[in-house]
Amino acid sequence: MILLEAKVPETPLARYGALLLVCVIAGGLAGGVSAAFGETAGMGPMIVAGSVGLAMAATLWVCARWWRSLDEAAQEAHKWAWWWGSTLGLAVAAVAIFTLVYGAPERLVGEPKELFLAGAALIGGVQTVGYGVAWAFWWLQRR
Amino acid sequence: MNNRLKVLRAERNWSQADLAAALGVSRQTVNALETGRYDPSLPLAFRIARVFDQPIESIFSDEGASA
Repeated sequence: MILLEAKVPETPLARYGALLLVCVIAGGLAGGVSAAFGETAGMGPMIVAGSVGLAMAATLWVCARWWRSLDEAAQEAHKWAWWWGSTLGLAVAAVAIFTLVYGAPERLVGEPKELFLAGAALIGGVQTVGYGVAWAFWWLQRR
Repeated sequence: MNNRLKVLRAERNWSQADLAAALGVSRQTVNALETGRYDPSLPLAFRIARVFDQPIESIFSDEGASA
């Protein structure tokens, strides 16, 4: 109950910090559990799905509280950034991935699992960069 | 959309932070509103009207603004 009643920090920076902290802790725990028990015979997939699912649920819960603490302009900035920045990031990542897969397959060395995760990380990373740039652009336009 | 937020705020000797606190938004949002680069939602426009005790149409106008 104490966790459920935890206050949203006052300043925007503190709110971002709290959000990031929860994401890092949840991700770290889920990653740790997945690495330790993911290959357990029989139960592995359930343990991984359960721990990652719980981490995602915790992150979404914190995101919902953070979202409600934003005013409408701040929400609009994030929506705009999500659409334009992340979409542009996805497009750039798609160009990079297709170029690698079909233009330079000899560079793709490693386990299938590693390649799959690297592809996901590439898309997520470039989308996040696009999101950040678009978010900053939205606010800079309105200074 | 044009607005008289800056004038109304100056008449009351309020800072942007004062107005932001009265409206329950950030100072950056007040700045974006005052420069006319962000149009408020209807609920926020009504809140602004209540804070300044004026009708919405005396604060906001679309004259000269692009559609």
